[in-house]
Amino acid sequence: MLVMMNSGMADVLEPPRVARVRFPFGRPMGEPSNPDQSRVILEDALQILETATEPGTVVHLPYRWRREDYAQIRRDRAAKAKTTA
Amino acid sequence: MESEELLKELLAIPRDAAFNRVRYIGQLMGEEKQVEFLKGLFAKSVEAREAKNAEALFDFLESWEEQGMAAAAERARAPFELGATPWEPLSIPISQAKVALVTTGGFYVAGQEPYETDGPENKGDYSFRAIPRNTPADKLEVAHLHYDLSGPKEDRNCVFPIDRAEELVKDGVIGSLSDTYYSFMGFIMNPELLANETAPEVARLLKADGVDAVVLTAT
Repeated sequence: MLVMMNSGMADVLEPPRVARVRFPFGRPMGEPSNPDQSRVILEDALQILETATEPGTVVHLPYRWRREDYAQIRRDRAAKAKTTA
Repeated sequence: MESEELLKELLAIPRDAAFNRVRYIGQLMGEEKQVEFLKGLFAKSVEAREAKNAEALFDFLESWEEQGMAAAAERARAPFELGATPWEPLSIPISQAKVALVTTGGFYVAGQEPYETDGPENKGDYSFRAIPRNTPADKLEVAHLHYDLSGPKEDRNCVFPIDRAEELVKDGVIGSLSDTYYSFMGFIMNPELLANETAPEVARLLKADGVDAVVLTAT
């Protein structure tokens, strides 16, 4: 699957599965030295790989550049995983 | 200065600046839209000051940047006939899958031949490099003229999430990782050579390695 910035090229190329991020050029996984962020984006990418059911699956990831608390997102995910386990 | 020239001057954002795709507003959109952007920028800045919150301003900038990119994409066409989107569903969970990373970020291992970042006749370079999974960060180089390299030079994971993948396999999220990843350098002006030669070669190598799934990060 493909992680790319939110440019119109995803519409032109129609990849099988794509996560579109509203991040600057050259930062598909987010800011440097933000391990929680790149972990969250990679987890999302793998989730799309696992759950997509048809070609041309596009997911717009909701994260705002430099304005999310990824450590909190990870804590929320861990808490959710505990309750579903 | 004529107004058209003035507007273009105001919107001539350097290519290596943050938000540089806002330059498409000056290059591709009409004068009316350019004025709308600049007036809105002033209004949102004042709003942000009054509200002590710049969220609306950031949203304004990002949505105009997207409009600029959409204007650029309208002019883009697939470089050749793409055919139907290839599709193979993943038949096992990621926790059992062998995963590889591929990127267009222009990475290579110290000692390998760097890419031709412009190449003869400014055609770029459609070759790839095999990147061993356990390449230390200080042995991984990056070469690309068309995005800001300060990010991956500080932390490769903002483009090529090698260390994140290791953490995910340790935590059992990913079943296993390929011993070899692949990088391209995304400035390629003859993409049919990529499509007919080097991309299928990487696909063959991944298949030979028993890779089930790939995360491809584009720059």
